[in-house]
Amino acid sequence: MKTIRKIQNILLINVVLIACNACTDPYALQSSNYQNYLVVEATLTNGLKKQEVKLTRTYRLEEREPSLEQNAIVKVLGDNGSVFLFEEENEKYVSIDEFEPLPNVAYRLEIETENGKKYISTEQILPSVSNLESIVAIRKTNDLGTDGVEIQANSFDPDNTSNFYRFTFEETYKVIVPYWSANNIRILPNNTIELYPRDGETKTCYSNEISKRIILENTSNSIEDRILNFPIHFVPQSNYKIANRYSIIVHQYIHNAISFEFYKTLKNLSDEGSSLSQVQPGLIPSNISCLQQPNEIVVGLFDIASISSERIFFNYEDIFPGTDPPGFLFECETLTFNSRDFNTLNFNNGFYAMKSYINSNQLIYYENTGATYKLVKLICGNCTYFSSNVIPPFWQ
Amino acid sequence: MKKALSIFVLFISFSIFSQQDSIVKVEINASNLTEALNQIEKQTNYTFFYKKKWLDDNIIVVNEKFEKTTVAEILKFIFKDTDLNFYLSKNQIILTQNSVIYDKVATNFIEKDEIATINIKPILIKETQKSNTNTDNDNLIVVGKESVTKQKVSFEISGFIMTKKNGSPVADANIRIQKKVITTTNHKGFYKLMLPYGKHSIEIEAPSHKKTNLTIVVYGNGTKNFQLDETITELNEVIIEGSSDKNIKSITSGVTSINMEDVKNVPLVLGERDILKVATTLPGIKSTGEGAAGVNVRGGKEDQNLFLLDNATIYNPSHFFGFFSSINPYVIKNAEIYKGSIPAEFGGRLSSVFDIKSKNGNSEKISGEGGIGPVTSNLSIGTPLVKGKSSILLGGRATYSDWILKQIDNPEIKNSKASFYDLILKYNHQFSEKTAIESTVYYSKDKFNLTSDSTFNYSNRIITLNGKHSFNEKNKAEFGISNSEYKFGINFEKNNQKSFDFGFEVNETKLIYKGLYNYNNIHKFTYGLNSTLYNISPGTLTPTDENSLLTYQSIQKEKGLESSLFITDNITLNKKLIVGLGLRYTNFMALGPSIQRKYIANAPITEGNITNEIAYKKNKAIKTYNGLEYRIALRQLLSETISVKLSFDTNYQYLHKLSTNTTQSPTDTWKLADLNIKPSFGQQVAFGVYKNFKGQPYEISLETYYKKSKNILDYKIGAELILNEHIETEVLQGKGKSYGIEFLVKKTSGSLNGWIGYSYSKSLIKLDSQFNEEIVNNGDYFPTNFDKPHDLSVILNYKFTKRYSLSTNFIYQTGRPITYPIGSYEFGGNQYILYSDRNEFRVPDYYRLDIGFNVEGNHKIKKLAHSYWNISIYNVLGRNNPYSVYFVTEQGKVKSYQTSIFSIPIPTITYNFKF
Repeated sequence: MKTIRKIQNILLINVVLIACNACTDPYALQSSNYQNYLVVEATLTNGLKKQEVKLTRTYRLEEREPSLEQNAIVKVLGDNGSVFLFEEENEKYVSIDEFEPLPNVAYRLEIETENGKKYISTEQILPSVSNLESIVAIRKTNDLGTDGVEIQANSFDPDNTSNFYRFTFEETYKVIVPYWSANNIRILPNNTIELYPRDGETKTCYSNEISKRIILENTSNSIEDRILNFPIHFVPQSNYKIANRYSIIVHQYIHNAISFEFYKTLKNLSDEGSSLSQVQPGLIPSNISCLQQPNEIVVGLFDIASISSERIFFNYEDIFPGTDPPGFLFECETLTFNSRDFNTLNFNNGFYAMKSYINSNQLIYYENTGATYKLVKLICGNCTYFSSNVIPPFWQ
Repeated sequence: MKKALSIFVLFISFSIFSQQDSIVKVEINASNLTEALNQIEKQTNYTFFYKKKWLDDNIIVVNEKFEKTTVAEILKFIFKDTDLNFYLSKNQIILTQNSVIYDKVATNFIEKDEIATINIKPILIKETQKSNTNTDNDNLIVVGKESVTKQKVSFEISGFIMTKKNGSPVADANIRIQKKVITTTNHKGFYKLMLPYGKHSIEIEAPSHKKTNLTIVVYGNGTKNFQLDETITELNEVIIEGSSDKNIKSITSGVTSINMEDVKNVPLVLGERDILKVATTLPGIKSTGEGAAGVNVRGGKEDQNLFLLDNATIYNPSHFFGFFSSINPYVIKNAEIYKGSIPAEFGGRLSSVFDIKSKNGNSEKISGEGGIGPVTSNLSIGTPLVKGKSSILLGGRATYSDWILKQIDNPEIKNSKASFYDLILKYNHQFSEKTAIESTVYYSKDKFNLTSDSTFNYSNRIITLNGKHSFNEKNKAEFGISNSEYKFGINFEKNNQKSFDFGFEVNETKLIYKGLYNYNNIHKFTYGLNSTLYNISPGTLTPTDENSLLTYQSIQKEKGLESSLFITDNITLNKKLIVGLGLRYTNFMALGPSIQRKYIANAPITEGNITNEIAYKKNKAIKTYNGLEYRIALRQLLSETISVKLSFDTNYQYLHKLSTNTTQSPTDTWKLADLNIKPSFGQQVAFGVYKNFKGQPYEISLETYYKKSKNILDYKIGAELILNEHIETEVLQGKGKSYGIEFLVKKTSGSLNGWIGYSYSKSLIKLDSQFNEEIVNNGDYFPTNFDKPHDLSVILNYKFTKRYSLSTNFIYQTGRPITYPIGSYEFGGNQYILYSDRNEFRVPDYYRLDIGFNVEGNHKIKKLAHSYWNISIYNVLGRNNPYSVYFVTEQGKVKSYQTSIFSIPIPTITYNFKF
């Protein structure tokens, strides 16, 4: 379906181009029409935990980041009389107490912003709880003919009540820098070169990435409420992520129909951000409204979802046995310096050039044979520059 | 004796009279006619013969001095306001009242002396009118005879119009009275007209023939043949002034006739004559943008227009994404466009009917027309099969637009291809005066190969068979059967495994019967039935590679039967007031085989609210909708040149077009009403004032309308329509409202002619629901995609000489509404664009000036073909009119761009010929 839509886009764009070569001009956006609205991101999930609500504001097109809605009073109220208060913590509002939404209890979210406006959501109920049965990693060639590994999810709800699935995932992968040394280098004021051992782990790190796409599946049409070999993510063989050891945790959310529609619309709108889009743009209706001004736009939603997660690990050889693993994340090469060449005009590989690179923290030590030193870019020799050397607690 | 004299044939006597009349000098000071006549008798040697009662009936005072004049002149002056006539014979003057006149003296003389008692105004005939009974083209023609017993007001006169040279019939000759076309001859040159008793000045005009003026005196039914002189050239004679007061006399408001000849003078893009483009210069008809197919009529959606070619529906009347209309302009005779008061015989669309009729082939000799332009070429040839009885017309048009693509400095487009063509074949056969049939076969095809990996095509096909039969003077019938098909397909070959073919098809078979019954002078009935069977294949995706990653996907077919019965009564209450009453009953059945979903009542139609699915067997009715439509129109003449019209009509539409594009695109699919998608319903009330100027070629009209509609299809945010089995989950059905005022001033002839049209209109839609996710813009009315309040068109032609003319075309429109990004927000760690309310903003206004220059070829009669050149410049001002405004995220920032179609002046030259 998407393919067709893309074709339409191509066709339309081309027709326009036929008629006029340079007919696309920048067009002044009337950002003066901008108004600042509250954005609510509040999904309660099952399981006893501190629940989170994120409150931000919409921002101008020319700005890069949202501002936070601070000093708001946030609470979740159940129709069984329960009240859960939230407090600000790390740019989020986190429930003071751990709690979990109970089945058959309707909850609503209440927000009172600093300026005294009250926002209230419609009531939400925890959907049925269904467990993610398994996730698997399968070698596959994707739509574009690229070889890689596909992460697939399998799920089944014998009660046939789940139906509306949303998946998110978080990838963690081991990074091993190709030009690692146990030592650091420094040049003392008297121009002597000194090697000294590095602090902590700098060779092997663990990188983390959160899914950007909205992944949805609806089984309400199927005979069975079953998700079988459902593609969650595809990693090409050439991607360094899977070169060593790779882990992915897939979160399966079960939503109610209305929240599912919200995500579906959000997905449709964001998938086709291109020119001459075929998608009807607009504001996605929210289930939160302002008490004082019912017509005020509120972005986002309050919902309750049941969550179930699964994690898998695999090594490169498990999936692609007998093939060469992909190259490192970055282009790496060693630069060779002659530390006995004190010619101040040798900017290429003399001592002073080396000193300058080291002192400005552009290159780090890799190895030396006598007076010949090999240095590399930081990201090629020390993984902590772009990743974390802390072994994740789940790592195995 | 005096009475006996009155039977003299006047035109014979006039010839005598003119020779014998002598110059006299008379002075009259009389308080009555008798006295006046006595004074004339005294001062001249003329003697009057009359019945005294006649003079007493006419009270008149004469105080005048006549010098150097004839007695005839004097009498004409005196009798000007009387019912008296006179006849000069030597020195005798015979007066007559209510004279009985025959064109042939001996044969038809029946009347006795009672004539004087009949109180009908006399017919005064000027002395300058010569009489000669032996030739047909007398300037004075008398038809029929007077009779005491005949009380009829009007009489039937018929005959043939032929060329003087060889007596061949003259087809399409207009017979006019006071500039109003009374009748037109058929292909045999036959005409028939009804004229009231009395004297009439008539004008006969036909293509390639000299205009002939005659005076006709009607006393009764009769036949009369005329001969016309051929003109030297064929090119300057087509001055179509026909139906010049149709605008005030017709009962329908909001109807526009476009004659293809008029289109010639409008400068157009790439040199193409285009009936649709001309239509959009009229107030109330708008196109969404340059290069956009489809029109919006009085605030209605693109799918609310019914395009008919010889009674068959054309689903996509445009080529090349709307740059050209898909019907070869050379084969179009005329188009009637109904923006309102759609006659009850048409139905199935809410906003308008474009009733396009093709020409018949020339049934006498081979003739043709053609045009050579930079992008397309046209040729149409008509030829008789059985002379005077049947003919065929063959029209074709093809493009060679590839060279334009080659001009573009983009390697991807340089290698692309675009082509289209259309063909039409029309056959007509006149069995007798009473019965005729015609058949049209039409095919149009567009094909694009814009990127190396995708081919796109669409086609229209129609086949029709239409017949006419006249049972008797009062009863006539028209009937027809037609089949139309619209298809589009996409062939995609990205790489082997992703190749596919996608196809959509809509097919309809239509049966029409229309009866016309002239009950009497007051009631004229039209009645009949329409039945349309729709078959839609909403989409099939076929992988074209055996290793394809795609799977075959086909959306279930749709079938529907729409049947209607209609009756209209046109009631002429009096000369000034005509009322048209029309009723149309429609029935629509969505038919199986089909599987339809049922959703929870009182809940939004979403995937989550399905209760069950119902399977329907073949031809089983899934859902039946019935509707009674009203078509009421009223025309009141306030004076001879001013009329007001009022109309009210309602319509049902069972077919929807699906498109999330802001403009119509050939990839839009059609959907029938079914269990979950309701038919649309519209109501329109319109009022208009129309003014003509006697003897002046100006027309002014002011129309205003208010329309309400419901169940108008719109889309949920993020709707996906292609290959979607459950469209109902993506659409919303809302209320529409539009209103406007339309002003048109037209100068129909003269060296400067053209029109100025302006409209102010609003087109709004409301999407409200009890469910939050089905509400758009707070459930308030908001502008539709095509709401363009101000719309001004100025079309002016100036003829320098018969050969050179200049035409200009200026268009101004308010920019159309768009939904705008007004900000960003973050959700789930990702950035999203915050959009304004739907259609809250507008793109910049649209304006454009085009200039065209026509040069006609020389006027030698022996020339093989007559020709003219058209040189035109499109968008002279080089205005960069935005076609669309779109938004992209570049390096985390949203940027907006506008695209234009023709942002520079585009000159073209076209050569047109006719033989």
